[in-house]
Amino acid sequence: MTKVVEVKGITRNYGARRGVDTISFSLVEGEIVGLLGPNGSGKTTLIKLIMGLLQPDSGEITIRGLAPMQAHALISYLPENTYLGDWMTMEEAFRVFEDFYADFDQVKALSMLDDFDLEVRQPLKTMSKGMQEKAHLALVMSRNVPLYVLDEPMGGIDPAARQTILESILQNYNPGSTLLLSTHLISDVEMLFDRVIFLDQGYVRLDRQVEELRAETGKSIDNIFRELYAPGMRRKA
Amino acid sequence: MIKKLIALDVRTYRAQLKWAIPIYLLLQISALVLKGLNIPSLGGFAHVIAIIATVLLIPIALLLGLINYYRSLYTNQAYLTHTLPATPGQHYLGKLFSGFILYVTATIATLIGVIIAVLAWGLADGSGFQAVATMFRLIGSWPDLITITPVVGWSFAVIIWLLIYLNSYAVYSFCISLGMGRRLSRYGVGGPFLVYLIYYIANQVIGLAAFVFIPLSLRISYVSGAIQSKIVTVMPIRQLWRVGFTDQMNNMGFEEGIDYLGGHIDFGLGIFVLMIAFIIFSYFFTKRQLGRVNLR
Repeated sequence: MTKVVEVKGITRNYGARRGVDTISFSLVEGEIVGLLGPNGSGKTTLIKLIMGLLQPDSGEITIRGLAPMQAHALISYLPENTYLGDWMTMEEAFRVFEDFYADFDQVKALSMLDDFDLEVRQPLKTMSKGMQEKAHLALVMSRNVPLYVLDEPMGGIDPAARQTILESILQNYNPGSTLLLSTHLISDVEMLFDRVIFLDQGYVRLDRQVEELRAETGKSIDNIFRELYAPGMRRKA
Repeated sequence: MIKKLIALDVRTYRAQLKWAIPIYLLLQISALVLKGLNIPSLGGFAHVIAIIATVLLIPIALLLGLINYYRSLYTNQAYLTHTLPATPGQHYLGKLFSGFILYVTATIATLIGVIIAVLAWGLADGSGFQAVATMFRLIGSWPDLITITPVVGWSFAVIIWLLIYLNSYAVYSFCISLGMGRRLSRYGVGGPFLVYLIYYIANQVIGLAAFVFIPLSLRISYVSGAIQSKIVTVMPIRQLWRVGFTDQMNNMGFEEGIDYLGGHIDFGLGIFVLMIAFIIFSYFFTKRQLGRVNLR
């Protein structure tokens, strides 16, 4: 299997506070990987490092052999925060994506907006947080790239809408691509994952194939998560 | 790619200025009509407001450029900007050119505002378009006042106008990029303010030194009753020393003063050399900073 992402001994601290510490792993083509962990475990830091939005103290990350800053055309990224100017409508956002990304599929984006009951001419500033997240997800999933990186894609979305979102991710995701999805809403999404990486205090606590893990423990990923991060079970900082 | 980045910024500016442009036009038209018709009080008031709006246009354009630079590179929007398939150099130049388009637009709007202000004045005192013609004649003849050719005079004016924009961009891009860098980003917008404060103090000290010690001066001479000017490669320090801090020229006339200084006055241009050096430094430094972004 071809490696899409390679993370080698990456460390990043925020002053005296640890962000991520000597993390190494690689992601291969076609994998759906869950990046799991409680708040402050280093998920977003790791994703920002992969995207080149943070610089590591040591270690190296490559995406198909390129440094993160040079690989942006290969990655479709959904950050934790909404990132479009509030003056934009979805129509305007489509224009931005069309301008900058040759792989953007507007038909797919329109169909996703329709699934999410969003209007293409509605200004972003008039949308609720959940609606904005859906709108961003529609944009990000409408690109055809080797790597999708989604940071908490359902953080502000109500439980009823999560199923629609999940179906939409599955329908629109290219099976040959790699998907890295960070979340703490595990029970909602665990059926998506081929592999899970559990982070704790900036370290990789567990990195396993989901089927193996379920077969070994007889438990769901959500249950494993609860056990790993139960009080008294967490790694000392 | 730079063209696309510029287009995105221009669309942002357009959205931000959606209301400002009609308001500005309304102010100018009101001034023209009310002042032109000599309506008591209201005419003068509208005229003054329109002039204030005109004077503020270029500073507002520069401020808007600064805000856009900060918002698109260091706030939530940065997550889009920094993940676009563009290099740091392209981001830097994209912002430079889009800000320049805004600066040119503001300059044109300022000129129109000045013409309208003079026209309103002309209509009020009965001279009408004659007032505008007189203004153009006066503006057009300024190089004659210091005995230089119009080409040299206007080239100098355009260079100064360009330098104002380039220097402003160099300063704010430098201060924001360094202030939002890894070490200072914990202070939020306080980081760029801190960098600006340090830059300002350093600039005053180095600027004064450059003004006095760099061997480049504008020499103003008074020959046969006419003022002449030329650029010379001498340091103005000797003349400054002679005038000293006691202001010995205070009670002298212009001619006498020039004789006292040896037939000419040298104004140091070292500050411009420093400015150009800083613009070049800021380009390389800021480009490097943009390539090592740290969005916390």
